[in-house]
Order: sequence, then C-alpha cells, then structure tokens
Amino acid sequence: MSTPDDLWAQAGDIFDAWGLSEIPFTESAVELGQKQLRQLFTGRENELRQVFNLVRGRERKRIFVYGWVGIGKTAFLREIIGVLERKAPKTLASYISLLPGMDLSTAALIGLARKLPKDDYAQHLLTQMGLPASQRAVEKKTTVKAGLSGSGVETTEETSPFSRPLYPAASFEALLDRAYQKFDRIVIGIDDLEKRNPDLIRQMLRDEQGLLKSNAWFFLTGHPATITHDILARELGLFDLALELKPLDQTTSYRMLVNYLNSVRPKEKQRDYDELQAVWPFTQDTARELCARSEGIPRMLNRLGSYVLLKAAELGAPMITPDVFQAGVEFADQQLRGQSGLTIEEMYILELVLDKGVLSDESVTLEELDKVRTKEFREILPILDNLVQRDLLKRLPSERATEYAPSPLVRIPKSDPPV
Amino acid sequence: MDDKKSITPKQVAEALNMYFNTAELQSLALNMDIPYDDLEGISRSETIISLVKYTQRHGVYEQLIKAIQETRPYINWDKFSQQSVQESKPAALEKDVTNTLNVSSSTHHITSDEVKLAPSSASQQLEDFYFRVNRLQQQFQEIQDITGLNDEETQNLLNLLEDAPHEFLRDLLSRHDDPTLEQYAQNYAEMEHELGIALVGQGKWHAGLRRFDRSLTIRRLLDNLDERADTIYQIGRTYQLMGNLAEAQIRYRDAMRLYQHTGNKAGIAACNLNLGTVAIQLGFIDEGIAQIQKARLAYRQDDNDKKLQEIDEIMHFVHRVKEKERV
Repeated sequence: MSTPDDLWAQAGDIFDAWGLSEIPFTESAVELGQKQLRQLFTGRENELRQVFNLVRGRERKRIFVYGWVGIGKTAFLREIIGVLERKAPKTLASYISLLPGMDLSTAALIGLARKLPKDDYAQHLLTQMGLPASQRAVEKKTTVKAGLSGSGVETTEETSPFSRPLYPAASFEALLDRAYQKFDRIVIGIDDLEKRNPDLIRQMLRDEQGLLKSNAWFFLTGHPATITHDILARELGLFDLALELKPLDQTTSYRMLVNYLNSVRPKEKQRDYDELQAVWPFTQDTARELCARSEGIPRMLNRLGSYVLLKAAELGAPMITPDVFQAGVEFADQQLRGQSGLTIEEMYILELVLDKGVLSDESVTLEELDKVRTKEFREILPILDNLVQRDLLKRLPSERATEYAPSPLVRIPKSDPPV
Repeated sequence: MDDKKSITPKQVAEALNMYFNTAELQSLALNMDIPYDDLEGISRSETIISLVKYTQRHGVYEQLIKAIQETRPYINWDKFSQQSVQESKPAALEKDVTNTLNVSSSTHHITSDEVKLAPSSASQQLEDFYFRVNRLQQQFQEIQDITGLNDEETQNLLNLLEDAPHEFLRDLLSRHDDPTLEQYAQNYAEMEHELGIALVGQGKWHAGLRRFDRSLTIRRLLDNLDERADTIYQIGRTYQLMGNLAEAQIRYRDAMRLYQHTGNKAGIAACNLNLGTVAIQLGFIDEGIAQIQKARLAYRQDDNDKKLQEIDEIMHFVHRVKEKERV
C-alpha cells in the first residue's frame, strides 16, 4: 500500500519524466503575471501593429477589441499595456476588469488611481471606495484650546469612511489633469465588457460618452454581439478602431503550446519551436491534434491540454501517445458533462445541441422549445450562455443568427461526424 | 353601479387616488393625450383633481371613466364610495404594510385544495391586494413629499411597490383558473402593450420596453399566441430602433415562429419585412432583399397598398446603395 508521501513522489516522477515542474495551462490570462504573460504570448502581429501605429500618433484614440469567449482578449489587452509600460516613456498604462455593479467611470477612476501611488488625491479616492491604497487617507482636524499659549494647538487624525465618489466621471477628469502633470500619455484598458448585460453596456456607452471622449486613451474589450454593427456606437462615433481577434492559426497555436511547456521547464531544457522535442511529453502528432481540436481558441487549448496532462499523470504515462491523448479527451468530456449543478433544462438543451450540431434562433423549432416549457428562443438564451461559460458549448461567430455548437472539449455522439 | 353617468367626479378623483400610483396616472394621461406634467397642483391629490377637471373641460370625462373601468374592472363603486380614510397616517400605513404582507405571504402557502377556489376568489384577492398596495404607494409618496427623501433605497422601494401588483397578478394567474381574472389579465396585458407602443412612438424606448416586458410576462401565461407574438414583435421593433440588431433579430424570429404556428399571415409578413431590414443593416443585402420579397408577396396577396409602398421605398433605397457600391 502506498503512503501519501509515496504518492507525492510518484506524481513527481511523472513530472520529472516529462521535464515539467507543473501543469502549465491556465484558464484565463488574468491569472498570469506580466512576466509570465510575456513568455507565453504569441501571434497577433497584425493586430498589435495596427494598435501600436495608432498609439504612436499624438491624437488620443478609443479602441474596441472584440472576439468570442476564450479568444484571448484579456491576454491581448494586457500585452499592449505591458509593452506600453516597458517601452513608451512618460506613458501611464493601466488595466482593469469591469466588475459587476461597476460603471465605466468608476472603473477608469480606479484603474488610474492605482497607477498613481504617490498622489494623495488618488490614494484618498481609493481609500474612500474601500480599496487598498499605498497611503492611508486621513482627515486632519485642528483644534485650538483657548487660554493656553504655545501648546494650545491639538491635531487629531480620522480615517475617512468608505463611500463611492458622487461624480466618478468628474473625479476621473480631475485625476487625469493631475496625472498629465507627470505623464504625456494616459492609457486606460477596461476589460470584460461582455460579462455584463449588453443592454446595460449600451446604456453605459450612451451615458458615458463624455468619459470616453475625455483626454485619455481607452481600450475596451467585449463580445461582438455587444457593440459591433451597432448603430448607436457608430452614430456616436465612439470608437476609432474596432479590432476583431480571430481564432489563431495552427502554427501560432503550436507555438503557444511550446511557450506554455517552456514556461515550466528549467531554463537549460527550454526548446525552440522547430525542435522535435519542443512539445514533449506530447508527440508531434498529439501536439498537432491538441491544436486542431482547440480550433485556435487559446482557452480551449489550455483546458484540453490541462485535462490531457491530468489524465496522463493518472495513467502514469511517460509520453502523450495518441491513446493517452484520446483518454484525455474522454476524461475532459466526462468531467465537463458530469459537472454538478446542471439542471434538467440545461441537460436537455445540451443534448439538443449535440444532436443538431448547431442550434440557432433560426433553426430551433416550437416543438423543441416546448420541451423546456417555453415558446421563445430568447428564454433559453441564458441556459445556452451558461453552458458556454461551463465550456460545454461555444457560441459561433455569426451575425446572421445567434448560433451555438458543442465545445471542442465535448465529444459529439458517435453517429455524427466529428466537427 | 355600472352606469357611467352615475359616477361623480368626486368618486372618480377618489378612485384615482386610491387605485392608481403616480406612474400609472401618468400612463393613463399619456394614453388619453393629456399633458400630465402641465396639470396644476402641487400635491398628488391636487393634480388628480386637475386631471378630472381637464377631462370635463375637454369632453373626455366619459373616456376617463371607461379607461379606469378597463384598467381596474374590479372596482366596486358603491362599496368604494362608502370607504373613508379616518385613521391617522402612521397607523394606517402600519396596518397596510401588515395587511399587504399578510396577503402576499398567504399566497405562498396555498394548498392544492385551495387552488380550486370559487371563480371570484382570485379576482377578489387581486382587488384587495391592488387596493392595499396602491394605498401604500400613495402614503409612501406623501411621506416622501414631506420628508424630501429621494435616495436610491427609497427609489428601489417605490419601484418594488410599483411592480408588486404585476408580480401578484402573475402569481395568481399561474395558480388559479378564474375567467374574471383572465379577462382582467388580458385587459391589463393589452393596456401595457398599447402603452409600450405609445412610449416607443415618443422615443422613450426603455420605458416602452418595460411596458412590453410586463405585457409579455402576462401573455406568456395566457393562451392567445397571436397576442403574445404581437408583443414579442414590438419588442423586436424597439430593439431595432435602438440599434440592437442581434436582439431584434432574435425577437422577430420568435414572433415569426408563433405566427407560423397560428397561421397569422399578416404577422409573418411583418416579421419577414423587418428581418429583411435588419439583415440589410447588418450588411447582408442580398439575404435582406430575399426576405423583403417574401413580405412583398404576402402584402400583394392581401392588396395592402400601404405596406407595398413602404417596401418599394425600402427597395429603392437598397438598390441605390447597391449601385453606389458597384461604382
């Protein structure tokens, strides 16, 4: 019988055989540090070139980066911010994710204030909002005691209570003015607009035109359905560039895989892209299969890669052969479909998409909708989006219809040809 | 007391005061083309008196009574005219809060036997509930006028109170099989639908959508699929006006499925026409034209000259765009 210590050592043996210190894959670029991101990021040369050419101009711009779930918007935005921080002198570049309940002005204000650790006003604003500040915001109160000369002045300090700025857009403008005393260019990147209700985002964009047209550069990321082809955004002239991130080609996916594996290899064992051993413990065949199945979507490559390595470790496989890879794919399928908390409706909709291959607002029938006790596709949209969040489905990048297909991580029933 | 002529202006004013909150009064006025914001009076009661006088002066008093009766068919005018509010405000408010909560919580404990109530039970419950909530809203607003409270929490509470009768109606409908209640629900959904159209016509898209959503949640519980499709279609139209084309497309297709199920040719044609214009707006011009042609065929069969003319104008514009692209 093996003791827990033996089991730990056995797990270590497998990772030693693979030449990896840990499983390198991550679900989201938010979890990566700037240094790690720099090591992993690859491709998107044309898109970066477009952005950097714009940034080199004097006139400030507003850029909207869009693409489907898991396509790499966060990594792209964080890479831009990272490059500006490293390479552009006198540029302040800040990244922030738009959290639930947060408006654009507040997000921009927090993003900017965090980058001004020595500015009293910035730190005061952060403290007021209950956020960590590098300086404690205090209010000084001075009282003079009558009748006593010299020692009659008393100063007390009180910490400000937490509160939201009454006019975040005005506070942002004021802070921007202060920041421009030290910097020549201020760039604010606001991520994750797609995680909010599209109607709410549209309302925000309408209400906060003033903010977006202020004296800062803005990068926003979101879902294509949110803003592209949007008459409102076009009429208001909100964006100077709408940049679509498309799925990566196979070569770039392969390079990304090599980067991930190199990130957990000792420096002397890191490989070049053209070396045969670059994808070890994957074989050339299974590495290419992983890239193909991920369909150029970095999130899928990360998740499937992670499941395959986990299964291989469980099997004690020193190399990811086609059989081990297939076992990993089946493991991913089991794990995802066996997720707890799926409702009957979600299970039915998932099976329906698996059966049909593609389910859309155009192709769904009233009989199919009746089975989930509704007569409107609109009512099953939250279910479909929930299944996308769970990586069971993917939303197709079509504007002709709202379409969903099985995620590459879920196996299609055997009677159907593989996607 | 069904004879409208026997209802006095005083009774009308009291009914408005008791059974309508401020937002509903505004809707009522809007529906009758009465400039509510221009009516004289500082307090709510004074504004209501001005509203009644306005209808008398402009010869629409009977129309006002009809609108009240359609919106609140359960009002017993005889019983109502005998009601008096003698209690002091804080005491009455406290009692109303307790009673309202009692009614609403009791509905969550209805047993399966109780569901088979006599036909009038559900509508009676609705009447009681409406009366209490409206009185609560009214008193709350009066307190708000005096204290000047207008923070987020107060506003949220007012919104909750405004939505309470709607939610209660939805709850009752899903539990009871009561023709009176269904008739009321149908009228209510129709009123919300029409108000939605009026508000969207004035460019108040969000307010209009809110009305359509209310109408749709009720219509989903009723059997008339054509009416349900009508509201979904209007929601689609509103989203199209707002520029949210993806949402508009989904709604038109949902409406189309229902119209196809009931065989409503006019509804199908309207959906085809608007889906065509959405496709063109999205840049899929040929697909859009094909969809509009389907609508044209249907309108031609119906000899609907107005719609055919509208389609001709759209097609003329589309062809000009295509010409320019070719050049």
